[in-house]
Amino acid sequence: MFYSRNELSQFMTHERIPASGNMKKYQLIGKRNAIRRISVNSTYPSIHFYSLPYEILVEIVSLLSNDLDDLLNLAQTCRKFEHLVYKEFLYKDVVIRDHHTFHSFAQSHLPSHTKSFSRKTGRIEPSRHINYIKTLHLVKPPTRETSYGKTQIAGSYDLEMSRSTDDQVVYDSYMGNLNSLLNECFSIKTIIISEISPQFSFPKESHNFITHLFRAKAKRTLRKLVLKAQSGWNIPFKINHMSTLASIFDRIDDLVLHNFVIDTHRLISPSIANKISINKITLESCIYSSNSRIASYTLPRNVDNDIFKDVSSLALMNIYSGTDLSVIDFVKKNNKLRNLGIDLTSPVFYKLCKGGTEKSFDFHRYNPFFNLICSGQGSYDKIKTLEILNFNLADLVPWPANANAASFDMHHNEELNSLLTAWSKVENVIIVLKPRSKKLVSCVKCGFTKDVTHTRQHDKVDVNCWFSVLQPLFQNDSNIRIIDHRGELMWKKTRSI
Amino acid sequence: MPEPKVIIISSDDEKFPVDVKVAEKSILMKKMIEDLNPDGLEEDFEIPTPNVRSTVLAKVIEWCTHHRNTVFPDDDDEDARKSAPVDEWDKNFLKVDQEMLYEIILAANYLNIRPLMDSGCKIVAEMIRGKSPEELRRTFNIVNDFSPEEEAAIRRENEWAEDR
Repeated sequence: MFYSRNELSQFMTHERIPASGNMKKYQLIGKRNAIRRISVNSTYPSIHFYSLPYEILVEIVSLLSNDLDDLLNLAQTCRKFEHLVYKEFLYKDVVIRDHHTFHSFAQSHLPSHTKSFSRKTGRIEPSRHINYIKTLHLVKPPTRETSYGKTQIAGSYDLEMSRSTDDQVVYDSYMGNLNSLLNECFSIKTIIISEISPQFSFPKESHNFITHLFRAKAKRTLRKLVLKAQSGWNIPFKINHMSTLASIFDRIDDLVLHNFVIDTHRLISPSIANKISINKITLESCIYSSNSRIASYTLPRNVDNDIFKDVSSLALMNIYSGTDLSVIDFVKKNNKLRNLGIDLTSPVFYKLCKGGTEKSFDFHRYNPFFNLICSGQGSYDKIKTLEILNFNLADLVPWPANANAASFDMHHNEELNSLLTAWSKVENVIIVLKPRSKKLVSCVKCGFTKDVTHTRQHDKVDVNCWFSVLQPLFQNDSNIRIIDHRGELMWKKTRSI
Repeated sequence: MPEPKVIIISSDDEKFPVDVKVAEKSILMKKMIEDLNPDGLEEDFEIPTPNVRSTVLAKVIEWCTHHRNTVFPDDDDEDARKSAPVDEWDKNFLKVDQEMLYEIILAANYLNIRPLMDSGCKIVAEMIRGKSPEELRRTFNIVNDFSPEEEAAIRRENEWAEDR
């Protein structure tokens, strides 16, 4: 079928084809089958449901987003609403809960990846909908082992698992579908893999020359990768938790690990042919094992195969023990670590008060720690930004009821002054305020629950109050920013030049 | 001396004098009043709304006057805003023809009156809920531009989403 110049230009501007948006230029290659005659849009009056601005339509349809039937019924009315429902709701955040779902998804949207007869009967090209995907969430990906498997959990004890032989088929099919999806979908910004079992790993990377040749041309960045261990476990983080992704993406902007054990031997010993560059790492409830700590001191200073070789930003959230803080030493071996984020509500920083159940900040133990990392001396000289996450002054010092920042007398708390002085030694200090816990009120008649938390409590704090409370921070002329938990800037001080 | 009023002018040049408190239900007007009168209103202050017809503006002002003392959930708290049921008075207030309903929503969007826009959107969402594609086309006067095969394919290609 041939098209005139006018028809082609019409095709390129038609809304169903995201030519200027998510679809990359090279994806148009071989899309001949996607070209079809464009039906002429009916003319609607300017005040009509169809003619409402896109963002208002999104607002309306978002109120139906929990009901798949309503969404599909609307999508079936006309092309415009099909596009809106697909782009903003059905395909924006794709959650794959099991391999059946993935199989069903792949059959409808992905080209068949098998070499058998099914390839001839299945899709040849991916569906256009997959380029609406912004977030891909894989829940409990299948594991590979066949028959009886034995896995060591966190180096402490063994877990025996029994599996049917079908597991291998399921695993291969799942991984094939994932590979196909990631290779065809260029709009993905975030991948979340949750409920990762201790036995899970991606297949060993392929050393296919052709793959490497193509990969060298297509540089791809994944904005965020979130890996969450199965509930109740802390599992060792392995290279093979990322190997398939490393064969597709060259760079991950932000890697977030939940409940993993950071074991340096597992990260350094195996080589990873498809090298991947990671800019920021956030470790949430992660363990840095004591064996690894010893290893980190015995390893050479410049480690070539380190998966953290390009990390310039490290954030530690919900830290449980003092040894877990040693991961900073491990990461900064790359000589590129510039930004350090510390969650100040982590249990590690608090001790039980004498004879009570109340906890207080352990200044005695952790002021020297902050003094060291903020000193700018020795191997800490590269750290330029300290981000204090979940900061709440009331967690650090006794805070009388109904007190405000202005009435608080800082001069009588030397330990806090000393902590703030330590922070002030870093060039840039960012203080991120802790969100307030929610207060909900329910109606006894209808059960309707309303949030009555005053979320903007800190907005009421006068600028001068911040200046008074954080006075010791200003001693060393740092750049200081105070932002709320939503990222809104509340106060800042720029260093004098 | 009577308190100065805010005079809202519709696209067809009709003037609506209202109290400051009523006008400030619109964040757009509130910011204009604050920015152009930093010391508070000393005399009547005119605000033109070139995108809003007088009949629609009259309805919007009626809503603002009724809710002059109502405290609404924080604009940033999307969950609270979306889960709150439509107020009974708002339901009756928004029992208007579709064209007027869309114009109220558009005016609320332009004037930045979030709670009114939320109520309007919820009413439209209720009109969509539970209806078949054909019923939706009839309700909203939408022309079907799918072929029967394409329409059927929508259900088929989204079977995976039933477990999302």
